[in-house]
Parts: sequence; structure tokens; C-alpha cells
Amino acid sequence: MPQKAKKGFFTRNLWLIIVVAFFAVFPLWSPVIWKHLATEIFIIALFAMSLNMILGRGGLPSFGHACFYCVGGYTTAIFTMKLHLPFSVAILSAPVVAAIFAAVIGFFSVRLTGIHFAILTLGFSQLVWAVAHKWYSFTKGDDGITGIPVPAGLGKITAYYYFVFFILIICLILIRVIQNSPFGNTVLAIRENRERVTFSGLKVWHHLWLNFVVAGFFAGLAGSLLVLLNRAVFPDFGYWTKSAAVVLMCIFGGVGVFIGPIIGAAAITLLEHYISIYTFYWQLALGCLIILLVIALPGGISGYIQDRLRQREEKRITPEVG
Amino acid sequence: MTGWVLMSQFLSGLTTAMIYFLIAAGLTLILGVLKIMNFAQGGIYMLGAYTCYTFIKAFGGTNSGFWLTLIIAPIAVAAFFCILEALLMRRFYEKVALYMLLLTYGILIATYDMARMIWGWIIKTAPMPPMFQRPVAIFGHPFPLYNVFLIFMGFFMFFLIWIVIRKTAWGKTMRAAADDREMTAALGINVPLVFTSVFGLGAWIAAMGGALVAPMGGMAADMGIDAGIVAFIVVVIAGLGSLPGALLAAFICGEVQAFGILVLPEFAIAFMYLVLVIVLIVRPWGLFGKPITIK
Repeated sequence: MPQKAKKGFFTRNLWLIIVVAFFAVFPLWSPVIWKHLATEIFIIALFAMSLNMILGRGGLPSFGHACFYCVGGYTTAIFTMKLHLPFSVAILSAPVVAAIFAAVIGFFSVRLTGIHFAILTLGFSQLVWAVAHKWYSFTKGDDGITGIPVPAGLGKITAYYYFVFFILIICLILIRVIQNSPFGNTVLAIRENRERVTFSGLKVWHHLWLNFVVAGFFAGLAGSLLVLLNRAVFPDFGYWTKSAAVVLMCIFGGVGVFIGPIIGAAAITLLEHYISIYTFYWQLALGCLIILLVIALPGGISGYIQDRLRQREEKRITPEVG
Repeated sequence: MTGWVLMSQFLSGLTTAMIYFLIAAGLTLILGVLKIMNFAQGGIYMLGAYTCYTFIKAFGGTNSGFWLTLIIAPIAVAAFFCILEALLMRRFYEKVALYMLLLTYGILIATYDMARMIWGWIIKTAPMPPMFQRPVAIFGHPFPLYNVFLIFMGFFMFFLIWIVIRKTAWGKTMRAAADDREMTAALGINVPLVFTSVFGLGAWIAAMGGALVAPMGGMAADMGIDAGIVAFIVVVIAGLGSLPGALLAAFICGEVQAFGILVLPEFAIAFMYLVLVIVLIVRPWGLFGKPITIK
């Protein structure tokens, strides 16, 4: 029996294994530009996954998520450039500082829902942006902090690719475990029916707050990884258009499916990369894409695929039942 | 001398405040009645400025051409957005707030590139109408006449919108639809049409703001994205949907920025955000808003 169960595991996760294996050998034959793009997609995918903890699982439309991304990036930059702390401290402290920011912002925000939640998170993130943009002596303002050193072992893009890939997998497993835990299920239950969860004696806003903090933690890590990839950080990491862009990625990929945000992040990043080769008017294309998406595919790409698969399944099952 | 420095700072702050008010007033109206956060508002403002530029040029930069532009340009932009509302946004009022946020964001960035396609990448400046090309004396010191006109227009627009909302049948229908959509519809009122008209009015106000700003300085496509966030701050400080609140909040933001430059030039913009966060912490529902249910 255990043998059969093991076989079941492999067949069930065949696609997952193929994808992981593909990306594990991907750098062996691809040019530098692709490796760079793939690394960037991994980082943005982690960022989008962290937002989906609030957006998809918590059902709260956060429009200030780039704030934690920005805080994570600046933490790493300032810790290495100003305080000359070792690399490991700089990268590990980034998510922690971002989580502290998330704790403060979440404290005020998670009591609200819907549009009020969106406005409050947007307001706080804009304040962080304004400080990063204006506080020249600390953040170097809109010049940004550039020339951030990376240890020799991670200097090559291939090494950094594997580093980010490894972190992404660990984080995805962690997020999966959190989402399937009693805590994660409670968050989901709050999204579905807030009142019923309140009546069952659970503290609704404690759960949402903790969820917000964990999401901030992963966003901070993503910001730190991106800063180490580009060796630079700018205040625009935290501008509100960035927050809107990541919301778009989640919706585009599909908020209801675990890997939805990853698909969205990859699709939008690739589209941006390839459309901007052909035209200067990438934003117009993106704007039209958003309008089409909202009208035609409200479940996102993966939501659409899932619906189709379910329909096929039902078709296959119905004759037997009949 | 110092007295005049403070006075001139106050007046320039007031000018800025009026621009902020015009961007925010349409947003707060749409938010109050339609219950949507319209990110595209900044884009409407930007299109208003560019359309004004085109019309002023077409009329040859004369005085009468300027007045004609102020009538035509905002109406043209508002008409465009009315069509957009009827085609795209109408079907999303009852759905999750997120889709509406994304949709208006999509419209914003699409208008941004549209402006760059139509008017180019170079910063444009609309010519100042001849009648405004002179300063006036305030306490014996020169001050641009156009700024005085702009301050006047700000107050004029405030009273105009206030009268429309409070004293006309249209305004009453609007407020009724804002309070209870279903009941208003049950009374035989065409609610979608009311919503389109409110959206059009909000767009008209923002476009008017853009048109009034056009002769003052350079315009670029990204002014809409920045204006959108300023409008958002003003509206949140004011309390969602409050028109007098928007005037007061715009006044606070304009003056805080004008005097902030005197104290800490480096942080002039950040002052506005500081006001925002203080308000968010002390009164999350804004100065004039109703307390939101806190769970």
C-alpha cells in the first residue's frame, strides 16, 4: 500500500516536478538576459504570492503592498551601505523590518474592509514612499541607493538565480503550509463569512492582523532579493502604481488558485518585457489588457483553466451517473 | 517685508489649494454617490489640461478663445468619460470593489499613454490669455492676476457644485441614489442614468481643473498620476464624499505645503502625507466623514 501511495504522489505532482526540474536546469543553456528575467520573475512571483495572502485568502483589497517591498529593499540597502553589516544580517533583517511595518500599518487597517481598507493601506504606503523620496540624508531621496555589494559567491547571475530559486521554493512551501494550517483556514473562513467566525468565538482581527504581518514579511524578503539583483533601490519601489501593478498580477493570474499569482507575475513581466520591445506605449497596451481582463476573465487565467477542467470533469462523470 | 513673504506664501498656497480642490471635488462626488474609488480622476484632469491646450491653440490664444475653451474643453472630456462609464463601468457597481479599482486604474494608465501618443512626449505649455498677462497689486506688491482668477474660480466651482447637489432636483435624485439605490430605482428613477450623469459631473469638474491649470505651467502625461494621488489624499483627509471637507482639506494641504517650504524645503511634499497619516490615525474616517464601523 505505501508503494501505491508513493506512486500516487508522483503522478499527482507530475507537472510540479516537471516545472521544478525545468527551472533547475534552465540556466545551463540559457543566455544571461533570460536568466536575469527569470530571476526577476521569481522575485516578483514571491511578491505577488505574499499579496495574495491578504487579497485572495483574506479577501481584503490591499493597495499599499509595495510599501513592504520598498521597506525590505531599503533595509538591505541601508544595512549594507550605511551600517556595513554583513550580507546575511542585511538580507535576514529585511523581512523582519518589513513585518514590523506591516504590524503597525495592519494594526490600523485590518479592522476595515473593502474600499476603506484599500484607501488606508494606500495612504500609509504613500507616506512611506514620501519619506523615502524626500529624506535625502537617510535614503538618498530620488537618486536611490546604488552600488550595493553582493558577496563574491552570488555575484554571478547563475549563482544568484539558484539562490533566489531555492528561497522561492522554501517560501512557497511555507506559504502552502500556513494556508493549509488551522490558522490559514480560519483566515479563509473570515473571508467567506466574517460574522459567523465572530460568533464562533474567534478574534477576527487578530487572525487578519497576523496574516497581514506574515504577508509583509514575505514582501520584504522579495524586495530585498530584488535590490540584490539590481544592486540598487529607488523610492519608486513603493509608489502606488507598483502596488496597483501587483494587485493586477494577482487578479490576472487568479486569486482563487494557489499558483495563480505566480502565473500572473510571469505573464505580466514577460508581456511588459516583450511589448516594450515593439512599442513605447506599453502602458496603453496594459490598460486595455486590464479592461479586457476585468470584463472577460474575472477569475484570472488559472481560474478560467480550472473552470474549464471542472466542466470537462463533469462532462466525463455525467454519463456514468445517468 | 516678512509680512509680505507670509502673505505671498499664503496666496500661493491658496492657489495650490484651489487646484487640489478641483481635482478632489469630482473624486469625492463620485466616491460619495457611486461608492467607487476612481483612480482615473487624475487622468481626466490631465486630459482636461491637454484638451484646453489644443483648443486655446486652435482659437489663436485670444481672450474670447480662452473663455470659449473653458466652456468647450471640460464638456468634451466629460462627454468622453460618460460614454466610457456607460460602456465599461456600469456593469461593475454591484460587484467586488477590487474590479472597479483595477478598471479605473487601467483607464488611468491607458489615458496616460493616449496623451503621449496624441500630444507627444515634450512638455507643453498653453499660452496665457492676453487679459491675464499682467500682475495685480495686493498691498502694493505685484501678484499674478491669473492666480487671483484661479482662486476665484475655485470658490465659484465650490458654490456651483454645492448648489447643484443641495438645491436642484438633479442633486436630490443623486443623494437619494447614493443613500439607497434599490429604493430610488423602485420609485421609477433611472438609476444608471443618474450614475452616468454624476460620473460626467465629476469628470467635468476634474477636466475644468485641468483646463484652468493649463496656462499656468508645463503639462506632461504623468501629471495625471501625481494629481490622482493628491486628490486621493485630499479626499481621505476630508472624509469620503464630503464636499465642504474637500475644500477645507485642500486648503490645509495647499497651505501646509506653501509654509512647509519656508520651514523645511526638503520635506515640502511629505508634509501633506504627514497630515494624511495623522488624520488616518486620529480620525480614520476623515475630518467631515461619518465614522466607519470598526470591528
